[in-house]
Amino acid sequence: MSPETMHKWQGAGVALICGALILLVSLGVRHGFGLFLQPISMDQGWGRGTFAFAIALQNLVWGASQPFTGILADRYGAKPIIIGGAVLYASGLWIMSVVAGQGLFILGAGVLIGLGLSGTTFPVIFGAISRLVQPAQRSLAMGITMAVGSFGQFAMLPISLGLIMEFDWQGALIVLSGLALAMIPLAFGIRFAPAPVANAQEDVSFGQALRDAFRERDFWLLSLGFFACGFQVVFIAVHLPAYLADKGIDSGVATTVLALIGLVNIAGAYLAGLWGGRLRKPMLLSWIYLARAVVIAAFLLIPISAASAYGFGALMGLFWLSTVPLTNGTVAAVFGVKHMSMLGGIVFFAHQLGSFAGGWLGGWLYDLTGSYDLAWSIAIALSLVAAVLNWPITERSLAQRRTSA
Amino acid sequence: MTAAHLLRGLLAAAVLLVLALIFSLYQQMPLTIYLERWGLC
Repeated sequence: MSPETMHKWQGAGVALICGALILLVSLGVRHGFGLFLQPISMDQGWGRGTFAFAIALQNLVWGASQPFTGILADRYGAKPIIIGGAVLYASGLWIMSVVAGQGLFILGAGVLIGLGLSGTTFPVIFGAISRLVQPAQRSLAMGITMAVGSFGQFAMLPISLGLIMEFDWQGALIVLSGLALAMIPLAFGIRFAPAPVANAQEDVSFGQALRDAFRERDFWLLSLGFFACGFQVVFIAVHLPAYLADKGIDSGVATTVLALIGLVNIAGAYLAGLWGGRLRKPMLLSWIYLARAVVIAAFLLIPISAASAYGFGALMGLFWLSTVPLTNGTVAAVFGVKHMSMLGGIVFFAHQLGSFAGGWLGGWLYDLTGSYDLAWSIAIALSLVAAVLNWPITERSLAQRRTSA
Repeated sequence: MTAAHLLRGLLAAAVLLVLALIFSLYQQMPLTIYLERWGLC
């Protein structure tokens, strides 16, 4: 690393590493939850609906609470929020491991872990790191953090499975609960810095920041675009293996495709952060959503085979979570970083509504029509709409917007 | 080639090795469990 680059990261390096590791743990542990469905449901004698409901609730609680944890993080700094989030996360996992009743299980897996996630993921981490680095470095910093978080998702799935095989599901959950507690010491690496305020429009109360954001067309466009992202990634992650099985593709192919998505996603998240610092972020988002539409359409039109599925996995991986640093980076560029965790949290809520719709609607439409065709069509249409919505967004700050208005 | 170049190359090779190792672990995962994943993102 050149001395100049070293200088740019000075003071933020430790926070960047700690923030990335927190994201690795929080996203990684969550990514393996699906593996617990079968053993827990069987052991407890529950239908699969209990587990599925708890996870769906977890996604909604995470999304709905994110703006509020964002407000707290903007005001008191990320450290206490991450510590609180880690305690809730670990408690939720521990309750999952010892629970006897369905209600308590849903409280642990759905509510506590949902709240824990909102305290330990993107908006809180990105908000803290963005305060510590120069504006020109923000996008790359988010890209690096996201790439490490993506690595967590990729790595933790086989590790969670290994834990279940070694210690049974209860033991595995207790180990993961301990891992969640490891986020507490990491939180001390993220020092609190007052938000650098570029202009008077950014130096406002959170209520005013909220009113300003809601008045901006671009804030809504960004949120709607992020809804499409949530829909697509969850629809594909949950339903792609079943789709491939329906088409007579060997079961091992689906596993490899999902592994490919996870692997290439690491590079995609990093590259998005890198390019987001050099090019217009909303334009990159438009291209990503357009590329997703093309890749999905091509996958459906080309006669399906193992090779086409691998190609789909590799290309989708490139455009998977690459939207996250770009979307949060746009929020920071327009609204500044003083209320970034809250505003990023609201945009993320739209993402989670999309996630819920993608998981649930995919299954519901399949039951209704007997195929995934309609759900795929919706995924393509949403992608095209998101590409159009993101294109006119500008990265001009609020002050510049007011001056030119 | 400086020591820094060598170190960077070794680091990149180590990262690729770890990624390849994890990728290979996926091949051993039973799909019956995998098919029933929920809410991944």
